[in-house]
Amino acid sequence: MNSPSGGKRGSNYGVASLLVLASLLVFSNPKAVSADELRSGVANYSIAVRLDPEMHTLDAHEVLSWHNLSGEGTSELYFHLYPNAFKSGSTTFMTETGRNIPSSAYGWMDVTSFVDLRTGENLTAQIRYSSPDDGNTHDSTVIVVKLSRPVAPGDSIAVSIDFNEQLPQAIFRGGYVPGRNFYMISQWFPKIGVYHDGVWNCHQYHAFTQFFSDFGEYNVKITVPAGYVVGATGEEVDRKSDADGMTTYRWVAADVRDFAWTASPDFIRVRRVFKGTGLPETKVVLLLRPEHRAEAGRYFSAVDTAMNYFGSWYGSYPYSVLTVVDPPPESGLGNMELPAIFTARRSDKCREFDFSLEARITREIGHQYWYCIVGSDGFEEAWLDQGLTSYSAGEVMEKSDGGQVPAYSFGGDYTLNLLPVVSVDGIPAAAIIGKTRIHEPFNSIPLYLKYATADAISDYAYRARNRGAYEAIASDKADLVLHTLEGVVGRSAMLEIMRNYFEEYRFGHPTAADFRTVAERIAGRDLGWFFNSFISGTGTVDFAVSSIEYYRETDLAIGTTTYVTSVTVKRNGEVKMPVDLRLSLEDGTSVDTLWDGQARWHTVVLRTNSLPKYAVLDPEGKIPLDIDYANNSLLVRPSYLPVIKWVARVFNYFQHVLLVMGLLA
Amino acid sequence: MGSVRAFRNWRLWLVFYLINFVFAAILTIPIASLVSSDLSNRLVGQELLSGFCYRWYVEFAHGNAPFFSALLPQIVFLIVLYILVDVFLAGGFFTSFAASEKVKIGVFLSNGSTKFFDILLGTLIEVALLMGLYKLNSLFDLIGGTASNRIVATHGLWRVGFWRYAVLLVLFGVINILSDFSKAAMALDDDTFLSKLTRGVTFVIRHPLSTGGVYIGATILSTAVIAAAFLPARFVPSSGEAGILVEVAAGQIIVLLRIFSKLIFYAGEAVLYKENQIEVIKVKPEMLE
Repeated sequence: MNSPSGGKRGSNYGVASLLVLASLLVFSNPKAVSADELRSGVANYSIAVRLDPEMHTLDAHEVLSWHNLSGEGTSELYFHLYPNAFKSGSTTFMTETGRNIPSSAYGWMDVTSFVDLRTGENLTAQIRYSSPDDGNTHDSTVIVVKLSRPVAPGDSIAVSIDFNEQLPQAIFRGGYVPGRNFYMISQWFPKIGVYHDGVWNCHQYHAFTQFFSDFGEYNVKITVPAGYVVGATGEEVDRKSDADGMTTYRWVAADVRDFAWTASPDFIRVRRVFKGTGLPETKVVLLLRPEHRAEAGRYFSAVDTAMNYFGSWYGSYPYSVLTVVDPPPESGLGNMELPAIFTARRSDKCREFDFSLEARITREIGHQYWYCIVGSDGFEEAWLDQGLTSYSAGEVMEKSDGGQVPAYSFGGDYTLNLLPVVSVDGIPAAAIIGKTRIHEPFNSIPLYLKYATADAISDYAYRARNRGAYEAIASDKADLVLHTLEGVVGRSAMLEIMRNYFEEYRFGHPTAADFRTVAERIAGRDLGWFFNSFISGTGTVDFAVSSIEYYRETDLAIGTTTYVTSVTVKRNGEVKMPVDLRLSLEDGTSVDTLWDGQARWHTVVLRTNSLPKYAVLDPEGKIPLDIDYANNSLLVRPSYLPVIKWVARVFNYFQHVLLVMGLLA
Repeated sequence: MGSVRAFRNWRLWLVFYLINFVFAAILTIPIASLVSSDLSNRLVGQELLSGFCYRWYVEFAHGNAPFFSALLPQIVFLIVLYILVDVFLAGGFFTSFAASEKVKIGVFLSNGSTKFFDILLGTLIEVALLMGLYKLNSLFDLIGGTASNRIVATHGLWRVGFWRYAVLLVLFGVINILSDFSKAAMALDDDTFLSKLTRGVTFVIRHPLSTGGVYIGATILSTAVIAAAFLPARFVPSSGEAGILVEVAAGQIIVLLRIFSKLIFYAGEAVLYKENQIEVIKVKPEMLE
């Protein structure tokens, strides 16, 4: 299944038919939002929802107006029913995560009525579950509804859906948190799939992939107990107190591909207007937990920084309101991106000198750009969101905070997980390591190395070996690939590529081919080899200097001395690509040359007037995908000082470890 | 008194340092041989002279993961062996520091061997108690879900964290003090294991201020030494030969100070216990009326 490529979607479809439907709606269901409030889009939703905080349930009515943009007609409609991912331990999501949650934490959705508003026909009996990805009969996250009257190409349909929902405990992406009066309601309504070229793209709910949906306009009435503070996608336009002690909010959003909301009586709401240089104003609404009251400035500062960079680099943020939610720590909702709203949890281990909160916020704003505005397919080409976000958010962090990362995540899966222990015991080496800044994109290297050849970036993300492989490939490898692309085309061209890609595909559904088209147009050359190697392929890059030798030539007649240096370079990895070779000389100068990297090995002979000092491949670090940085260089004369320094440190480290262990005696 | 005896028995200090040195050297050799090629022949070695190269580190760790996996059991084995040697030495330290005269090395070793199993058993009990404490910490996590969340919402997180860790710290200290003085009893008394264990615990209960004082004093001293360990790393530029020399020397001085603080702790416990030893009067038949 391919998602549609191309630019912006049109914005005036089927308005007339909606007006007809409006009268039907008003009289058919008392909960309905009047349809004249609906605006245009591809998939326009009008939803009225009521939260029962005692039972943690939702009772809702939805009117969907959908426009068939495909060149093919359809007699079926596919919908996501994502709350059913939490229905039992046998769903595809639960199976993939391997999680075993108590049945009290389960959640599910029931569609109780489905009416084709064109005909007034009740199609509830026509609903059947479908598992297009894995055939899992226990998974009910996708439904298909058979229509008696097809939707012709270019035509529209409106349907009325009643549904109720038991919210799951918020173990992942949404739900409620017991004892906290906190609700994050995402992926919560019957959401239509994307229909393109006569094929439905409507995947099941998977453990680690994101989502895919059409852009549209939302008009949502949210009824919650009085005193609850509500935040949602879009803008609050109305608020009414009901006689039964409830309050109904109305939110509208345009050109968004999803709608999420949150509610809690404990939220502290703080507002601020973001005013970037040359950028449109955006109202930033911060919903904070009470214990983080003092952190508002830090949140706003991080949002400002990220919005400024993203806005000036790629294009302005199109939505008028951005809501940032601080979820409870036990919710499993640390970072979650949805259109115009995201969660960014301030870790309770978060310290003043680490940048984990800033990194989270920056990353979530990255997702606003590459998932929420540029409507990439989170199932089939997750890297277009995750990778571009890693790349751009990393660049922002590098510019704003100098590439610092939180100390406790330093070293990823590797032995420096011991770092906290080490620093507690005051090992000098740890103190020095702790000060080290990790520059972009090297924090992506550990996970990439672990899964370097596991999957190709172009593989469907939900088919990844496991969550680690998914993150490694869709996010970390893609980050390194984009930095390598920057090395190939140059920094300014890369910025142009990203900016053009954003501008051309905002509110559209681009594919990797579209990104390549933009890259080739800006770079002015064929980049097929690059995309074939790194997006479609699983090969690795490893260039090495294997030997360096020289001899002296003296011309007695004119009294000059020339040094003839032979540098043999090797390509250990599968990927063939050009790489710079630099011969550095004792007098401080250097000689640069380019190796095409096609052969397995190559010897370069260089004549210089000064003694050679060392040879280095990729001296500017343009290829961060190279899996062995150390072998990129070779000294003419070995130096043992670093060995002494670091062996002494390791020795001292072990002395301290032994002393600590000896405390038991 | 304890610190005087720790100074006076400087040879024990040296023995302890040499044992630590040899074990650390054995642990270091495989890693040294592994890194020497990269660090001496590659440009990354020059980068590591003036700082740390994260990229090299992660690639090196990944590329040599099988080596480190194979090395780990050996490291664990050597650490366990080192702890056993420490247990052996503990008997000698207690008896040497408790004696008003210098103890000959033969007596030191003899005491170490005769008290070994009792002190080892005491150590295992301490380890079991500490593991229990660790489990208690996990229990805090478990019950923290609802109860402590309410406290968080109303009082702020730091209070929960403060009291939780304060309780854990006090329990840790109590386990430490009871274990340490029980070990002193193991070394300095002649009786059954259980009697000595009981006597050590009783001693702490009868002398809470002095035993706690020794423990807290030694903890402050060792913490000060640990804090001092950061100084060379912060202030000594170790990129040149002289800087590296200073760093190595400073590292060894810190190790020696840590050893000294540990021996002062032993000495303090030994002297305190010896001078306030609970006299055990064995009842003989003729004493009975």
